[in-house]
Amino acid sequence: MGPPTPVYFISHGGPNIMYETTHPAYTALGNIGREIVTKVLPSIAGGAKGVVVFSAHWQGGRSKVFVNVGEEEGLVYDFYGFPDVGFPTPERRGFGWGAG
Amino acid sequence: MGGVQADKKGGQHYYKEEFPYKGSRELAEKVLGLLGEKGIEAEGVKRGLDHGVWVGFKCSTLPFIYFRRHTYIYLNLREKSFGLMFLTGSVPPREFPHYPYRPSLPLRLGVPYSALFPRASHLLAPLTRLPHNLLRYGSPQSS
Repeated sequence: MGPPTPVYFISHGGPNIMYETTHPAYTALGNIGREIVTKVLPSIAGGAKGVVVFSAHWQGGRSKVFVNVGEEEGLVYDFYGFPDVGFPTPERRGFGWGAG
Repeated sequence: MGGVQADKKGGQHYYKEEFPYKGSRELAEKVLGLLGEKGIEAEGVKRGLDHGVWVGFKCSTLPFIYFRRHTYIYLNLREKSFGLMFLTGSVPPREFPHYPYRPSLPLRLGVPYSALFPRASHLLAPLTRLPHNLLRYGSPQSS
């Protein structure tokens, strides 16, 4: 038996946080990711099978929990109303990773 | 309509972001069964991963990739982390009259979920905050 499965409370950001790489929250998220990848995943016997997430952007019923049973449901782009303030372009972001 | 108008102002690139993942019916059925056993009403539905989940996970991995400055690490990471199955569950509606002044559903959910994952075989990562920004997406009733 390994250690108890860790639980993380993560305050998510708006999609803009993906580009605000100098924001403290961005650094904090990265630290969490590093911890999971370098410490938590290797410590799970047999490897981790999945991630269970409760999202603040999915509202259930008064006393009912909804659970996604789909396997290929893609992403929900549930945001809107952002002003055009000149977000960094993918090139300026400096990652070897395209915007999509 | 709000989304369409916003697109003209900016933020179009947000809609091009991707986050590869795969859901798990097996894990979902397991969770639904356990919730039922604990007397918590639950229903399986089909719904994509909202930004409350994928934005945070994306940020949590990208700096690591950048830190290593190596494409191979990125690909390897996709195997290890993005290859994991994602199972998402909902939180109570904001208008829930007693929320959050009484033990809320997310807190009560901790009991059956701790039984479901007593030892490390899964990661449990609730990205919690009060529901917000749900004008267009959210409960099935409002969509």
